[in-house]
Amino acid sequence: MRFRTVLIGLTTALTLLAGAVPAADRPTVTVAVNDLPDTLDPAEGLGNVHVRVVYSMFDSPIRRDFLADGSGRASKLVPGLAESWRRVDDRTVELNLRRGVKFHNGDEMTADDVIFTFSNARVLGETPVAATAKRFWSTLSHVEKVDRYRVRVVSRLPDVMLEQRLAGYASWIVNAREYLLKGKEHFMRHPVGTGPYKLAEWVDGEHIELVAHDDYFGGKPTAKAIRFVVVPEVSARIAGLVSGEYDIAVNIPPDQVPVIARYEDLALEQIVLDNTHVLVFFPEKPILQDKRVRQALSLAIDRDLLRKALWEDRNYTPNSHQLPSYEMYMADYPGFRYDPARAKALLAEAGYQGEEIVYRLPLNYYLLSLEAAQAMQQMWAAVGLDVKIEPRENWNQTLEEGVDIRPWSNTHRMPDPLGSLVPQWGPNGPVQRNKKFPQREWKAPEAFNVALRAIETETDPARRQAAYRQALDVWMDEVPGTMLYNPLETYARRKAVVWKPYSLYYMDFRPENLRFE
Amino acid sequence: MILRVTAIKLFRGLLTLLLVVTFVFVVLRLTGDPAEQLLPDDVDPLVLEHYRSVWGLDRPMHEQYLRYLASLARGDLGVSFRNALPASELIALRIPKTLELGITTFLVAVGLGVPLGIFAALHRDAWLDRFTMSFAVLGFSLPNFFLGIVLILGFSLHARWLPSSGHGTWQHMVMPVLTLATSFAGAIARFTRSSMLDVLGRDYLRTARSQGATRRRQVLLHALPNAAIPIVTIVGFSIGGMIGGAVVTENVFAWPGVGRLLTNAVADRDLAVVQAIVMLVAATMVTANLLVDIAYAWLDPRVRVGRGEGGR
Repeated sequence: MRFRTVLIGLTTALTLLAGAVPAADRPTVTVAVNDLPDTLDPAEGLGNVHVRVVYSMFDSPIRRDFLADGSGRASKLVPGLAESWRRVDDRTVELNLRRGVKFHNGDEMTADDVIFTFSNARVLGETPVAATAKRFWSTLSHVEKVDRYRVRVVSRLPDVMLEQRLAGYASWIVNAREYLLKGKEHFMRHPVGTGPYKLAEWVDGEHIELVAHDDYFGGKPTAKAIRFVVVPEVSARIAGLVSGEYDIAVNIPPDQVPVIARYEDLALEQIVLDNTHVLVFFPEKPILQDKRVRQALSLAIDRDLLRKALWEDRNYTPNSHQLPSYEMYMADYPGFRYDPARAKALLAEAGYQGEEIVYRLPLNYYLLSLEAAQAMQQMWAAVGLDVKIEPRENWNQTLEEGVDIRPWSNTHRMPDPLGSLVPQWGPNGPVQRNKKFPQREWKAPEAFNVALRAIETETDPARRQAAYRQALDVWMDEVPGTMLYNPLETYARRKAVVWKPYSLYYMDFRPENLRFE
Repeated sequence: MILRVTAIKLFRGLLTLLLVVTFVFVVLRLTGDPAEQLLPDDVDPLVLEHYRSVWGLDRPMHEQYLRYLASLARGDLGVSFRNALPASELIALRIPKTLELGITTFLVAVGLGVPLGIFAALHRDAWLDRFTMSFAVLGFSLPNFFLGIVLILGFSLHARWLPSSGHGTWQHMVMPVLTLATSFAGAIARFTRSSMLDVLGRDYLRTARSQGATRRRQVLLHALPNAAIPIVTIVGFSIGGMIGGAVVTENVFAWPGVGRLLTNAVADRDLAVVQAIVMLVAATMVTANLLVDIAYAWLDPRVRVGRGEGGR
């Protein structure tokens, strides 16, 4: 009896001891991805293959809490590398940086790193080394030091979105010493941030392995390592997940969802992205210069049917160029109508005589875009529009002479029109300004550009909101393009690995979003 | 004499390479702009211009071409637009993996294809022949991507015996090698069979038979060496194609070889990398042809004599 008690006691003690040393036990999470990034400089690589890796390696001064309401789509701002911030005036935000935050190389993060991250040489100047970031910071003037742990971010124009920008793309803080000493070319292969995981190994074309940065200010990472393994073929990603080689697989097409659902130890994570599939109508041919024809093109599309047929109706079509997560979201704003009778009437009014309209699209760029194009061709034909579908290998071929409609996607990188409508459809965006094909430029009514300028610089919320409504009114009436739906992104994971995706392509493996069962 | 022949062959090889490089340059640059391929679809037009000028794509086409040739002449294969690494370094990383796959495939395919072909020829028109040849035709005609996916479904998804993709252990090699070797072995088997049938009816075999040589001796010592020339030709061509030909299989199984690098580089219009790989494949082809010529001479004394007299 006594012996048994001792034995049980000993076993219990051993079990407890084993539980007390989790560091050695932490599992490695293997993620099967379609492709690996080409650069890990977080201001340069902004595509989905990039941000899913860099998001766990870098932090921004302010953080968007996607899980604030549990949805993965929320846009609440919470402290990141800055433990607090305050508005100084309509052009300035002061950041109060956390003390004792350690970079992966052991350096302490200070004001100098923040200043360098947004410096002219790196992202803002005439010829910065990481030029792709500039579009997110078009209004930034500079960042100035107050003291070792305080900086002021100063905009050239009044900017109500400064805090959101500091929580968004291209705001990830880099280690200035490493970047300056070794240069950008070195840094993009050997990045140094403050995030929960740091680069351990990068074998081009095979995998990127990140290991836990145990000094992470947000708590000890829950996994020992995160391995991104490139598996371009979707059936191989699924097979590997089933056989236990991978823990998470990305980019699962909708038709493979039932396959995954058959396995008891696998779970699906689906999220509608903050990205909208869009069509752009080039007003080049005389017939397309008539806005009634463009309106008819939009009215003829049965978006409900497209979503049901292609996405099992698990996604949605935004009501105009906005998302529910926007601070200025207008729930009452009328959405895109499906009205074939009205489309026919408009075409008759415009005197459309069956002129051919060419819709050219790159293959394998947007998920299900060819299927959607073929369905829309029939919908357009039903109202009398003669649209020819021309699939092409790449963008260059898509945008050659003779195209009237192109597909596009608009990523809402901030929950505000400044995150998408203004940069993409505004006076400096690619729709209104096309150097190579000026005849394709949309000659936006002055009222539209005036409203967009007000969105950029107005600080009074009511006036800003009014300007946004006015801009949308013009955009919906002029129809320089139209929206189809927000695509659904599907991830598959082993049930034992509990993780949630966000509405941007970030994969967040911070302690609060990764645990094991 | 041999020196002159070699010099001519070398000159021809270099000319072939120049033609290939020029062709690839023109085709790639006319069908896509690397800046547009590599940057996001909603990129700011100014940023696009910036990268074009950084990468020299804003210069006239002929200037880009001449600059490229000049750097080639200096032995510089150029730098990848995609990840700023030298093209030569990127390829050097991948070559061992492609060779690993290629050599194993080659051994398996020859080891299967030649005996199957001989076997079929010796049982001409019997059901064994028909069965073997149907199998060879099937293997030869099955598309790689289809066979690959079927193998993944069978061995990884259902049986869970083999890893679905990647590189590292011998288990990782089984499916890619099977996929590649199946079609290759099919081709070799068919060539071996017809070539063997051609020789089996020849006089010297009848002589050998009448002299009482065993069946095994007849086949291995008299028939096979004489049937070898067409087999060596097809095998030689296949070696050259092996590097480029594994493109589909490498993609299906995420095998980190040259083939996958090539697909990505073509899609991105990453000129330096595509050019370097194409030159590598062309050089392999040229070398393989040269080796085939040498093998002919070794296998067939008549070729040796012919060459010695300066004929073809």
